[in-house]
Amino acid sequence: MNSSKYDSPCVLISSVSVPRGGATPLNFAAMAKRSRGWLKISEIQFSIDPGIILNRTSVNGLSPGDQYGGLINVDCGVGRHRMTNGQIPVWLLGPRLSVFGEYGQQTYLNSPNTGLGGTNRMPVINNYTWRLPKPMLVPPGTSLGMLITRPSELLLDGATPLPNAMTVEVSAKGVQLAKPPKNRETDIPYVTYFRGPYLNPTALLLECGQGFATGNSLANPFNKPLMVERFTQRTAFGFNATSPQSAGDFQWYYGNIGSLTGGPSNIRLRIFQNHYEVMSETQPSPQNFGGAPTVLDNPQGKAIIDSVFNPQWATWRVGQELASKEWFNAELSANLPFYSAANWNVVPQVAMVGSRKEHV
Amino acid sequence: MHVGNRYGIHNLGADLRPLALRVKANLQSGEQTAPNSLSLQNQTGEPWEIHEFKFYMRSQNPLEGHVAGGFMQAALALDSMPITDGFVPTWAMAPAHALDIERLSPYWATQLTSSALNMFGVQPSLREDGMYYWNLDHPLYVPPGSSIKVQFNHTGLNNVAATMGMTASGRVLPGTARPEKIRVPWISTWQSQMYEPLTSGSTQGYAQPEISQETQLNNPFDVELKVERFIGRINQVIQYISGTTQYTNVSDLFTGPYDQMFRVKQYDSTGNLIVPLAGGFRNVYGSRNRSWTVRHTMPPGAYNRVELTKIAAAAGIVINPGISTARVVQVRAQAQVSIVGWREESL
Repeated sequence: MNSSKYDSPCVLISSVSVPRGGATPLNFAAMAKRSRGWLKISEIQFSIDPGIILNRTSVNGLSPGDQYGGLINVDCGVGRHRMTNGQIPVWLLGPRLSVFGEYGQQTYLNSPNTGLGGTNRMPVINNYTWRLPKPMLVPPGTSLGMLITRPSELLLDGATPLPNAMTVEVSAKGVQLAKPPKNRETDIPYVTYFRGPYLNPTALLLECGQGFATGNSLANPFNKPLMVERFTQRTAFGFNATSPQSAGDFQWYYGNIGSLTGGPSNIRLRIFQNHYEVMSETQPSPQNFGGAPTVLDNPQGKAIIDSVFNPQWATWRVGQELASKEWFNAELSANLPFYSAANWNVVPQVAMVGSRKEHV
Repeated sequence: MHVGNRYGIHNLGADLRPLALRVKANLQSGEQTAPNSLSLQNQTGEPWEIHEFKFYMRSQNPLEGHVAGGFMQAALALDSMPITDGFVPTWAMAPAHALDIERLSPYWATQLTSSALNMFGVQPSLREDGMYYWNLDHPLYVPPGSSIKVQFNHTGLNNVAATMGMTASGRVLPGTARPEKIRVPWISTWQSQMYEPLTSGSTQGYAQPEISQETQLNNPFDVELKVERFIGRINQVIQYISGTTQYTNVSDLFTGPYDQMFRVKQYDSTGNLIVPLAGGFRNVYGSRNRSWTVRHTMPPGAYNRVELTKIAAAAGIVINPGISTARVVQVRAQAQVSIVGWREESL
């Protein structure tokens, strides 16, 4: 029990080293309060250190040093309650901290030559913050268990410029309660996401339904309502040198395409509930029925992703309750070539972040 | 609570009017000054409610160096009631709501020709100003005739003279009853030694871990302190020679070695382990905002202690080979942690 009659701040911290293709759990004891005090966790922070300073290859303002949150996934739970639906890319958990990257944006405004390390080097650490939809009670001795993974599927090629093991540090921040809560019911967050297929921007034209999320990817699997706080969206962007014009794993990874001028306006999205209540759409655009489709066609009425998600925060606050066992469908398409290189691929991702009531 | 209820009246409205008072001083390097206290005296004859303190600072010689909230410090009080525990770095008062705005400059929008200067964030030909805002968690009631006492401190981390100003902005509350108790903000700060982030040595002659004093990060009052947040800053100092001129830049902008070099534990005087296992400085005190908002109560006389360990520099973090190390005079960084809250005081 807390020795004081006052609540006090508390941080649980653990760090792991994750090689490419590896999976490492956080230290179980470090992520639990060993005293008899209850915790109320309100925020989880992630820092990702790639363990290397990368030479910058300037490609439309992006570099492989950008936004490792697409490469590091987390599978999270508290006690017997799931907080994620399997592996979730870290950058989908919360709003983007900075439009230029997940750290002080001024390093980008400066020039490519920033960060202590000098010319053509990049700042080396990315930070991500997940403010939980509502504070979460954690009983004494219960660990905030996390498995940190670095899937090789997004970055398969051995020639990747990110070969090193990455150090991921996780801190769960909140308060330790002076007295046990009167009610053991609490809000447990839940995140689930849908990842589209690899889309090749030069090859695509009117590829409606390229990505189609159904079933359990954006669903409420619980037998109770899920309060959906927000959707978050990112688009991984990379380069496949080994098989031009084909959609496949990245050799080079360039972070989120949101930083690329013109990129997001060419990816379109429609989200609707399983009973076809449409949540985001736009008027269908005319199309040339008699001939080949044209670049401005949008016959399905999907909305440009930057008009659905706040382009600065990469998020859309909805505050909607999703009934038990219901789900959202997400349709993605990219209908305009926006980059001339044949071997670029993009992978759009949409996550649903919410919480439900559980007894702990 | 409605503002009328707070001050025991119900006719607020038409007569409310904004009021911002400002004070300014010029400081040589290493100088302290107490600007004219009449500048921030409430001479309206009616109560004044302060909502925000704004700090503005400018180097008087940008060719030699810039100014920033890490070494331009202020001490504040409402009459005899202290608001800060002595001098406090102006960037350690409130969350960094926009790191890029803290240092306004056309410099950020330009592509520099000298990567060497750019590397350290030094651009000698353009002016950079520092701006920091402390939006109070609760309005500060200033009775008629009372004043905000201000002292500025240039800690001398670089040699440039600077202009520093502060504005207290809020509104006048005509006809307001005088409350028995008011909420007065409180900030207490701890600053570590200066460490070298580029060397592999961890102790650098200092005892490790370095621990904050019992008289810092504390509640010195005989009433409860309502803590709103912790602020964590890394004060980064870089001295660099180009030609025959030595430049000094101070900022809290860059990631990398600075983020990696400090690990902290924290506990308080009542036995609570706030950060039981050493964690990265930014992962405890926040990355984007440089702050950790965690509302809690500190009993009278309580204090926090921060244990800071400087770890060896990570592999690969070196000065770029294209830059002569002979031109780098020194690279240093210190941790700054503050506790921000408020207590009730009787008028």
